[in-house]
Amino acid sequence: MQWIEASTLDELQSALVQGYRVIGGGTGLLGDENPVEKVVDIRRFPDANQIVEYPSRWQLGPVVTLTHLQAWAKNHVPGLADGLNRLGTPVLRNLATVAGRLANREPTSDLYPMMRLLGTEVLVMSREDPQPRWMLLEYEGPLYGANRVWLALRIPRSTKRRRMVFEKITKARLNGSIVNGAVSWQQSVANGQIHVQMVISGVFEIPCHLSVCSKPLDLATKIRAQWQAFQQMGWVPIDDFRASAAYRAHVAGVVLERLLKTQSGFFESSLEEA
Amino acid sequence: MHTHRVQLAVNGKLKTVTVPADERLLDTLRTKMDLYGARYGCGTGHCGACVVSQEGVGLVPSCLMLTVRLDGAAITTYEGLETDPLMRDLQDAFVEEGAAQCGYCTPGILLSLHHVLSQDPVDENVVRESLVSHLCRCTGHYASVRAAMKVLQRKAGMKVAVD
Ligand SMILES: Cc1cc2nc3c(=O)[nH]c(=O)nc-3n(C[C@H](O)[C@H](O)[C@H](O)COP(=O)(O)OP(=O)(O)OC[C@H]3O[C@@H](n4cnc5c(N)ncnc54)[C@H](O)[C@@H]3O)c2cc1C
Ligand code: FES
Ligand code: FES
Repeated sequence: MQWIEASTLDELQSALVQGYRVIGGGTGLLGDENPVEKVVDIRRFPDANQIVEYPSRWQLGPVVTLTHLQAWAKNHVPGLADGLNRLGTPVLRNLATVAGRLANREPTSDLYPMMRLLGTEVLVMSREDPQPRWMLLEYEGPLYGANRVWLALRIPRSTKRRRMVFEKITKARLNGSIVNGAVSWQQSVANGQIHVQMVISGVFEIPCHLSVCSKPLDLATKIRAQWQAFQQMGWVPIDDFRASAAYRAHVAGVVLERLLKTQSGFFESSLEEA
Repeated sequence: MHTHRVQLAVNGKLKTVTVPADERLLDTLRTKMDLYGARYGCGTGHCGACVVSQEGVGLVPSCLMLTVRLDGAAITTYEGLETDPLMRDLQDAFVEEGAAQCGYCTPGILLSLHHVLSQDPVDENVVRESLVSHLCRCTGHYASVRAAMKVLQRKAGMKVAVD
């Protein structure tokens, strides 16, 4: 294996041209049965391991670890901190990076549903286009690939009227999840409408995004959201050694139900205040 | 094969090693420093047998860490805490509770428990959460939790007595 460090865009681009892969914590790359030949380390980029607070957003460097994000989220996005507690183990989270988890396209990635619902954007630089550009975090965006690097992530600041929760069902804690998902609620100050967004993954090759708008968030809306999800589940359910497609579809229903139940009382009460 | 010179502090002593880029910290500790407390269990971050403590980071799986990335780092292995009073208490409690059978996983588990019991506040949930990082094929975790809680209670008793 060859290992180099890059701390400028020019150095990084030259590494990408030579076929180097970015290493974050290495927990995915190095545990792999087919380890990579060439890795480039970007931890010396300015603010690479920092979470910087701006008036409208929080910005994360490319080697911020999951533990760091979790500690920070406790005070800013409690639903994210709770969700991260269920990702891997404490020792893993000390090493694995946020970018490494998100850039890794596993259908059951626990972080993707949460970060997607928070409206996360990523600053992407590619071999072909050395000019870094902000893009919305996508599960499988056209810019993803081994020759691309995420130089930063940014999360828009949440309002008090926004909540997010994460739920997952695993066969065994270390076997990976069967189904996971996150739901966020945001209430419009103007008309009291509640916008419910959900990302359910693990059932499909690509996580399923759902969105319903309602006032109030009543049983009919919840049923509508579930129905939409089940419609999509019929499309491409994945089936692997951990669980059959039918079983995944069943537990996805359980996850959805739990997600919709959790904290819906928060908006029902805040609606009355509005 | 590219090699790199790396200087790191291990258990308080400065060491300089020359390593190939793909060498893991676990191998450096075992083959170049004769430190055998960290063990190879899975090589993929799942079992926790290889756990060491990195200053400023916390507990990490040494099987997934390239030594070349650790230039300037300070590492503590199980051996570095051998004479530490809290570690001694934990070892005694492990014996009393029968928390180790083959012992393969034990140094990693003791490091995690030492880390967690050094913090404040600690309760049984925190102790249990720290054991999520470890697999024990012989004993399971019940006895380890009992041992950790015993140490915690003794510490609390001493504190009350001193107060
Ligand atoms: C014991 C264990 C338990 C786990 N449990 C869970 C779990 O419960 N839930 C879950 O979701 N995941 C789980 N995982 C997967 C884990 O989350 C990933 O291995 C980890 O997050 C990858 O992060 P990393 O920083 O180590 O990435 P690396 O291993 O360094 O990289 C992973 C991939 O991302 C790319 N990459 C890294 N940084 C960047 C960047 N800045 N720009 C572009 N590409 C980049 C790399 O090139 C590589 O392709 C587990 C893994 C282990 C070992
Ligand atoms: S050997 Fe490192 S976690 Fe198993
Ligand atoms: S005592 Fe044997 S693996 Fe834990």
